[in-house]
Amino acid sequence: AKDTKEKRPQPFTAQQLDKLLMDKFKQGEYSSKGADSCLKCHDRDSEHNATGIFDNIHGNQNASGTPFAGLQCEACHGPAGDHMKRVRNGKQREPMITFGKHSLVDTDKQNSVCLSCHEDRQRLSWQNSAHQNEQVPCASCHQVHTSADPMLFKQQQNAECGSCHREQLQAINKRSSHPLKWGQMACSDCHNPHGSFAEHELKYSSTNETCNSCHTEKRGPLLWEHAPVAEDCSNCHDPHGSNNVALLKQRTPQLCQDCHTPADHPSTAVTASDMVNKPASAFIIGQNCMNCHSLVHGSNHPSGKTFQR
Amino acid sequence: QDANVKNIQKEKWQCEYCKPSNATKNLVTLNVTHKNNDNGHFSTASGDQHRGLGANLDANIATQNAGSSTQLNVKNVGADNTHLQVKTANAHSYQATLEYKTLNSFGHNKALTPYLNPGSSTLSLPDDWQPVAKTSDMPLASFNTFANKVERESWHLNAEKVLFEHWLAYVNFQSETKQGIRTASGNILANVVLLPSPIDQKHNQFELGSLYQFERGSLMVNYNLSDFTNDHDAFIWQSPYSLIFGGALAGQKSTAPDNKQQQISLVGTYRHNNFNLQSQFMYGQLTQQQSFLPYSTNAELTLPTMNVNDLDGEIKTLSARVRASYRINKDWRLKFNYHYDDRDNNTRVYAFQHVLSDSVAFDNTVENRPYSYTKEKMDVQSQWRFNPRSKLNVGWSMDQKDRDYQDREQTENQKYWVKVSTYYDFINNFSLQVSRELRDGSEYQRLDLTSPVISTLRMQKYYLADREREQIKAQLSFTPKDNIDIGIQGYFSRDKYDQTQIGLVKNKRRGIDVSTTIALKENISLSAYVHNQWQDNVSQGSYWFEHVDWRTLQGDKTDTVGLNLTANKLADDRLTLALDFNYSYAQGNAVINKLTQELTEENNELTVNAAHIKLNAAYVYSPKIDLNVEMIFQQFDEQDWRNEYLPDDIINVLGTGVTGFDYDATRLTAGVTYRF
Repeated sequence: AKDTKEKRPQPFTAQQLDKLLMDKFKQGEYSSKGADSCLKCHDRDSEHNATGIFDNIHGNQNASGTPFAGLQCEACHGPAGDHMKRVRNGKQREPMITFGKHSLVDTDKQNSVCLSCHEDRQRLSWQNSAHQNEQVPCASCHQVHTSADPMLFKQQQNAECGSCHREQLQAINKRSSHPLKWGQMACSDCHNPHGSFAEHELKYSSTNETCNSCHTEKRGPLLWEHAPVAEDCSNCHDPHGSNNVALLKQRTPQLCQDCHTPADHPSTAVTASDMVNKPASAFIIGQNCMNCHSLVHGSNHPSGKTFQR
Repeated sequence: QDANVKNIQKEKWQCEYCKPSNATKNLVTLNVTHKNNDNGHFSTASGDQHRGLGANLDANIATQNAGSSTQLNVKNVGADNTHLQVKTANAHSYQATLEYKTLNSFGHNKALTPYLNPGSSTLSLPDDWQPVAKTSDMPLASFNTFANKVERESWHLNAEKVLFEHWLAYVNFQSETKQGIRTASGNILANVVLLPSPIDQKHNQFELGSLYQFERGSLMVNYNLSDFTNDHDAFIWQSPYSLIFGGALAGQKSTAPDNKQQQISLVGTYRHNNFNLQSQFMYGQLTQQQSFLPYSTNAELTLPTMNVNDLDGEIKTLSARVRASYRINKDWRLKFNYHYDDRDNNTRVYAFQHVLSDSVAFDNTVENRPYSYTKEKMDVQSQWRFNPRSKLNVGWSMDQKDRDYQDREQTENQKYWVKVSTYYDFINNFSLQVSRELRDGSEYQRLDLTSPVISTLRMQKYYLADREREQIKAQLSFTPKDNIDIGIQGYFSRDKYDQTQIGLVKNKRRGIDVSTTIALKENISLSAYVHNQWQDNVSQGSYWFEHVDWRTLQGDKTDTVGLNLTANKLADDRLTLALDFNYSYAQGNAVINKLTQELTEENNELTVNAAHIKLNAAYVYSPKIDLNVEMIFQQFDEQDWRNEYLPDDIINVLGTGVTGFDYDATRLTAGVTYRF
């Protein structure tokens, strides 16, 4: 096994590295044998094994437009003709463009390499997106040197998103949640991590449009709309998960009572002790308010003003 | 960056080592499963409800010619949730994908109902049904069972073609059907029945667009049509209760009406030097012309003729987004975002006779309220790298909403935030974000019914109310040793509604997450995490509408711990083992203050325990055969007194007899993968 993990002498600073890389492009010193120069070390036994790239499209020499149909490894990593040369004591190995969150290369510059091919219609909004703003490199989520990028598999994608978005990841373990836990759905079913014009990087233009793309029966227009529903589904629901049924932010009837205290209904704080001390009440258990007002998302019935029809 | 390739001698680039790991890349996997439980909760999470022995197939088959490739991906064929995809592409020329997917959700499968035909749009009782006054008199033993289940099946065709250099066109078509039974309640006056209601819907989406990319940006135009149809206009049920004074013998509920949404959008991006501009404009309309149901099916009611046949609903939408960033120098950039959304509901206002649950026709009429709103949001932020490893972000945003027919016509929310982030040495990332928001608006004027109109108490609906919001989020990740990564996240959020006397007055949410990943050996890694979250909601109300006489504190806490152990390259690089464990405990309490009586009581409202263990072993048996064994075990129980009732516990509510989920379930899978 070849040890490609090196003891780091005094590292470059980001500015020094940036200047060096720019100079290397000016010099245009590419490897004499292309990828073969690199793969002598970065082979299957190496800790930095790069050969997985040949199991995915990036390493396909026959498909036009791939890195390996062009400058091979150096299509992405830049000219690295001296990288394989012996390193003298106290000197640095010739640097190249490296990727990932631990790379010293400026994130925008790392990502510009990927975007030079992948700035398609799904990634038109990358610039100014939340992840771009946070300087998240493409390679902190995606893996190119593997047979299949984990982000393409729902369960692995959810875990990867959750490595930063911890609160949202843990929410899928709650009592009610969308089925993300074992990969029946993925974060990218609702969000576009590459940026969108919508709030929260949603795939559709608003929260409601995103919810309605699957729950279309709630879209309307309806004769009797419920105002907070028409305005924003997240007024009542937490889409990432909740301890309450139906992803509700608060248990009913309290949730309903936060807005409704009609004079002809009992306005009482109801708890389990009311269950013990009184006969069971339709105002409290089961679907409580929704025992009667079952169409809280709106109704199209001429007699549906109070969402009972 | 100019690649500067003039010195390359490409003829020497033989790429001798450029070999895939396997000469054969086509995989077919046959999985044999055994599941000992078919309850809905586990089935929804695992994507399959079959109990006992089952089998499913995965496949990944690819062909490549010069320049073009075709891939077939198949996942879980034979299970309830299935995915098939065929994709063919030629780089810089075309791409087409055909996809088939099912996504089912399951509920309780032994729900009780007196109806003979659960899931029908006309729910009938047995001919010899004897109406009774209260649920406890109903013959539960003779009830039928039904399963709550919603099956989604969708087809998706996507095609993209490069028309000219930098210019492509695309078309998408997606058709989804949704069928099944969902429990919904129906009432006749105060008598309620939980009904096995039908779901039989179709949603077709069509999208057409074109993208043109040029050196400094791009232009995209897109048209989208979404067409929703429902096979059921209504559903009718016979009341199992005896006739009460003024009550009906049967009820009729509306279902989701057929409707359409059309949208056209234009996207433009432009970049030049350090300036980046993106914008999107969208115009759309939602329409609905479903024929109205009659006021009631109750022939005993004397009702006027409706002077309109359908809603002729129409909502126009207009949205604009502008996002710009400018990099003043390498350390400082400014950003600007503007969002505009207008929902203009042009649906007419009609007067309808006021009819209550097929039973009472009041003299008055009621009018619909076609809600319109306009939302504008603007934010400005500055990002300054004050040293090579540290950034300071400051921002301000203003969010204004204008509405009609609501208690408050305008709200304005302003947010200020600051975020510092840095990394140094073994600290991979440290960030701290603090924000403060203030929301107020126009005068709050109560509308009828929703508020205690006879009192002077201030009731503000929480989504319209004056609000102060404070949020803090901190994050630290570090590597104390080469093989150990540790991450800590904490968050705190508090909403205060100081102008509210009745309604939600306070909300607090905070949590902490600690996680670590340890490389025990080169091929063995262990990760563990703990997440704790607490959430409190304080609401107030008034029984007599003279003063606040009750207050509830609804407190939730969730504790989650987990462990993941992965060992690969075992047994001569052939074996990979993985263990995943997760335990989650949730508790909900309510503390009630009955202020006038000076009484305080605390009750446990719900408890949820969920644990799972997942074990997986993958073994490369030969260059052509892989073996895989997996076990998933889940233990789950939920106790929520709201759901813990028998069908006849409530005198006027006929339930379905289902309570919380409480199960131990195991799924074993053994798979053989063949490569060719």
